[in-house]
Order: sequence, then C-alpha cells, then structure tokens
Amino acid sequence: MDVTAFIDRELAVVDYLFSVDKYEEAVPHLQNILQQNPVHPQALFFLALVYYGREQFEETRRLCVDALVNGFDKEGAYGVIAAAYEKEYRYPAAEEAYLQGLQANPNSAVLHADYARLMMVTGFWDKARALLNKAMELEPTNQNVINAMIDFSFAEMDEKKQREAIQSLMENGSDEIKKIVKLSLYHHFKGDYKQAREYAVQAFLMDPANRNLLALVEGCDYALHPLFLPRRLIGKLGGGAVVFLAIFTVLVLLAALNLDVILAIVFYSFVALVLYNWMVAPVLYHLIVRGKDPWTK
Amino acid sequence: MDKIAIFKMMLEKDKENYEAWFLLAEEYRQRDSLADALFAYAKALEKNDPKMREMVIRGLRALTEGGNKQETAEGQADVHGLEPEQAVSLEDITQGSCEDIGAVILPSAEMQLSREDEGLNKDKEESKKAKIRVLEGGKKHNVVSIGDYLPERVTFADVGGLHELKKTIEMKIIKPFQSPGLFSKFQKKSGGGILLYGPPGCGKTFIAQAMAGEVGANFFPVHISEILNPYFGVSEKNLHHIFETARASRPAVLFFDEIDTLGYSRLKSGSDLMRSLVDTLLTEMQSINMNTDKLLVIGATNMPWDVDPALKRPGRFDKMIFVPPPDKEARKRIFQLKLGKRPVAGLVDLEVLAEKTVHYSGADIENIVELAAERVIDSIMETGVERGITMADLLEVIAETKPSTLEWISIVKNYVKYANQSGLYNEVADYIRKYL
Repeated sequence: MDVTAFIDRELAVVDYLFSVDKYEEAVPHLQNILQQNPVHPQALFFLALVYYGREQFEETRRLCVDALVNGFDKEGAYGVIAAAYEKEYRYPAAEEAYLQGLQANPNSAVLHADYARLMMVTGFWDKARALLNKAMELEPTNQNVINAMIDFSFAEMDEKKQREAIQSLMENGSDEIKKIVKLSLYHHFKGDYKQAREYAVQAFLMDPANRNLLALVEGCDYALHPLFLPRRLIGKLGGGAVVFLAIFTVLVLLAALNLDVILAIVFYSFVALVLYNWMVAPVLYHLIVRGKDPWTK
Repeated sequence: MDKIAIFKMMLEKDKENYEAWFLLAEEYRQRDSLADALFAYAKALEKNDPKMREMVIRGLRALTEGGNKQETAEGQADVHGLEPEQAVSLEDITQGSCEDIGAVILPSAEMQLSREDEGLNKDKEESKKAKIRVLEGGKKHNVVSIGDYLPERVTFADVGGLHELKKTIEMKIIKPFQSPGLFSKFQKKSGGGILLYGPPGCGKTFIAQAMAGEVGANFFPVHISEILNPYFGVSEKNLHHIFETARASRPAVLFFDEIDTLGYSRLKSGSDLMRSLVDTLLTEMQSINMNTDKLLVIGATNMPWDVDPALKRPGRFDKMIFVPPPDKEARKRIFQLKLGKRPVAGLVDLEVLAEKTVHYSGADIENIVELAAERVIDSIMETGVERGITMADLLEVIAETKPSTLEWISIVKNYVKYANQSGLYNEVADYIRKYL
C-alpha cells in the first residue's frame, strides 16, 4: 500500500473514532500518520484535540500552531487555541485568538458563537449579544450557535428566549444527550426539579461516565429532598430576595403597629427559617443521604 | 499464519476437500518439498474429476520442469475460466496484494469447482469455467483472513479462577452451541450474540478466545481498522465480508473487541458513517440463523452503555455477561504466570499477594510484577549485587499502586444507583454489594 493510501485509511479511522468520542483510541492511528508524514496538518490538529481532552493546553496550542504552519484551516485551529486559553482563564489571549480566527474567516458562525460565549463569561453582555446575533444570522441551525444561544438565555434568565433556543435545538441538533441536558437545565431553572431530574437521569443513562451529568442528577435529588421543602416554597414565592423583602416589610409594619410580640415571633421565625434552609438542612441532608447510600457504607 | 498450516487446518475439517489438497500441493511445490507435494497431488487426484486431473497434471509438469510461479497462475486462471491478468494467485490472497483487482477469493470453503462432469462432454468450453465465488469490493487488508485464526487453542482450563463466570458461560453459551437439538426442540435459540462487559484489563478477550476453544470453533478477532475505509460504502462492505468469511469457516466465533466503537449508540453521535455501520452490523447479526449457522458473535466492551440499544435487543447481543476483576484464585494464577519466567528470591507467598490485590485487574497485576522487576534492576545497577524479585519488592509496589478497576466500578455504581431500572446491570450490582 502506498503512503497516501495508508494515510487516507488511517485518517478515516481517526475521523470515525472522533465521531464516536473515542479520542484516546485514535492516538495510535495518529502516530502512524505522523510517522509517515510528521507535518500532516490534519493529524496534528486531531492530536491537538486529543491533548485538549487531556487538559494539556500548552501542548494543544503548540500542535495547533504546527497544524496552522502546515496549512491547516485557520478557523478550526484558532478556535481550539482560543478554547485552550479560555480553559486556563487567559481571556485576553483567548480573545486575540478568536479575532485572528475571525480575521481569517469573518463568516464563521462557530467562531462568532464561541467568541460570544467568552464575552458572556467576562461580562461583556452587549458584545456577546451582538456576536450571537451575528452567529444566528450566519448559521441559525448550527448546533454550536444554538447551544451558545441557550446558555446566553439561561444567563439572562429570559424564559421566552430559552424556549425558543431549546425548540431550535430539538429541531436541528443531532446529539440526543445535549438536547436532553438542555431540557433538564431548562426545567431546573424553572424550578421544576422533578422534570429536570427525569431528563437528567435519561441523559446520565446514556453517558454514565460523564461526571457533569451525575452532578446534575445529584443536584436535582438535592433540590427535591423533603428537607428542602421550605426552600422550594421560597422559590415558588419568587425566590429568597422577594421573601426577604416581604418579611422585612411585614416586620416594619408590625413595628409601626407596636405589635412587639408578633414582631419577635416573626423575626425569630424568619431567622430560624434562614438558618434551617442554608445551614441545618444541608448538613442533615449530607448525614442522612450519605448514611443511606448503600455504596458509601 | 503459514499457508500450509491454513490448508492443513482446512483438511483437518474435511479430508475430502480436494481443492485444498491441490492448493497444499502447489504450496509444497513452490517450497520445493517434492515428496510432500507429490503426496498432496496424489490426494487431489482422488477426486475423480477431469478438471482436477488437468490441474494436477499441470502442477506435476511444473514440478518436474521447475515451472515458475507465473506459469501456475496462468494455468489456474485458465482452469477457473479467467483471463491470466484477472487471476488471483494464492500468493495474492494471503499476502494481501489483491487491491488492484478489488476482489478477494476465499479459500477452499468458498471455492466450489463444478461437479457436473457430464457437462464437460456436452460443452467442453463451458465446462472449463469452474464456479468460483468471488467477493467483490474491499481490499485484502480489510478482510479478516483465515490467517487470523489463532494458532494456539485456548480453553477454560487456561483461565484461572472465575468459576462462576465459566459456569455461566458454559450453561448459557457452550452447551447450547454444542447441542443445539435440545434447544431447537423447545424453539429456543442455541447461540446468539454475547456481550462481555467489565472493567478494562480483566481478560474479556482471553475469555472470548477460551469460549471459541471450548466450542471448537475458529476464532476471528475483528478490529475497527480492518473495517473502516475512506471510500463511501466500502466500510459496510468490509463488515459484510467479515461475516461472510466467518460463515465460510464455521463453526466460528467472530469477536468484536471494543464493540462500543463499532456499535456506538446512534443516539449519541450524528456521524453518518457510524450510523450506517451500526445498521449493517444489525442486519448482519439479524441474518444469522443461530441454529444452523454455527456462528457465535461475541462483543467485548468496557463501556456497555455506549453500545447502541438496538444491538442489545433479542436477536443481537442479547446475552450480557459481566466479566469481573479476577478473583483470588485467578490473581494467584496470574502472579504465578507473570513471576514464572523471572528470577525470584526467597519465598513468594502467592496467597498473600492475591489477598493484597483485591479488585486488581490482570493488567494491574502484570504491571505490579513489571514495576517490581524494574525496582530490582535499579537496585542491581546501584549495588552491583545480583538478586531476584523478593516478596518485599512486590508488597512495596502493591502498597504504591491502586486497582484500575475502581474507576470503572465507580461509574457503574452510579449507573446502578440512578439508572438501572431495566436491571441490565444487576450482575454488577450484586458484585459491588458482595465485594465492596
């Protein structure tokens, strides 16, 4: 077999392994390619992605640069370089990489979406919104763009936008787990923990090795536990801030009416409720649930 | 595997496979083993067939005249009714140089020369065309050949410990495979797809080999790189050919290691190639008639949850068997095996080593011995005093290492806790309750 055919075959294997999330399994095949052609840009880029998965970001960037030098697509390489910087919280460097990527391809919806996410994380909401709008304009059905849109709507707590973005993901997304996770998060943010848990368990069933999904299920369990009933009620009433303001108003009224006994009862009840919700209940939960857990005995 | 060994293996199964005798003779001739070649030609001549006689005569002529390989290839092409340039010599088949032709001729079992001697008299020209089954498409290196047949047969006697697992396999797979009559009487499938799952390094592959050895079947390990091809539709064809090859050599065990790669859940990936490969695999598995095909399909995976749910339904990999980390007896055996060929100093108590390595996989134990050996080599380099591996070396290494199976167990533990409504992982749950 000649070298080109060999490399093509190995690349097909690598491509397939990446499509089924088996990044480490692809490494020997990538090494085979690089043995034949040490500057194969696509192999270098794939290897960079493997290192990204291993959280070795310095090496990721080095390989991306090697891939770029050897003619790899700038959009992809700069996107990964930026993501690697982001993981290390080096936001200015990440922004620089996104800008370079966008300079090479100003019509990349994915880069716009990822850059928007960076702006969102760093608090530049207006810029994030503008970038996301641009990404939506370029490629409204792209899964990365839709995911960024969902994250943005969650951060903005805009339920209408959340619904729209999730609807779009359901229609255009191909990754079932991501769809289910977003549904779970949507219900979680709405305070519907039961539904959120159902979706989270469904997602976990498909990918039990994913620790984030486990955390999501456990988070739902935590929120659903009877010990946190008062907290859930507070949530239904509009959240801690609303309840605090309401109680404060009642206390002021009671003070104005000189109802000292009732004032004291309400005040101490409120303090007790706060202590219970944010101190006693979590400790009790830990003791009870961990104690009941058959695996941690 | 050596071609002569392959033909011998074919002849062991069917002594009246005259084509195999002929091919064996040809091989002996090319290696200048004249006596053996003559014996094999004589055996081939026992088939009372004019075409075979003609082929043997050609071979014998080449033997006496020192005929070259090209001549033989031309001769075979003629006999097979092919043009010389279309002919695929045995050399091509076994050395994987059929790419240009894009065809692979399977040996003996697939090569069926016409037995209609009467036809020879009626139409001499027509009768010269021997029926030969050519599997189109794909390339030799993509197809698991008989050469992948394991030279050494492994059986359950070679698997230390794990008695419960062996008993389960014996009852669920081996006995039904060996005596399908009883099962067909009760309208029960005697074979099927088996999915072995468990932590990595615990011997799933070895157990699959042992299963093949127990049922006396050919063992065909399949790797994803043998299937995948950059050209559209070729990967699916390769997968089909692998099943065809295994059928041709039945009884056979087709073993897909890391089945979660080939049969990855379609819910989790949008790759078109992956989807069509899973579809092909489903079709192939569905089309196996377990009672008559004598073909067992075994998949092994560390991540059974990544396997497409459709593959775990009845008719496919419907038997899931948990391969746990080695038990005490197995661990003792592994230590014994791994230490066997290395210099050991003083008394090494295998019982203690096995007790101290609960949940360690076979690979972990191998690693312990490796590390202990490295330690001894370092000490010899430092002191200049030669010594063997001691119990203390091994215990020190054990104290410094942790079983690699714990991570897997922790994942399954959570899975069982939150998502085992179907009871798919009850075996693992039992194991965890019993040993953790």
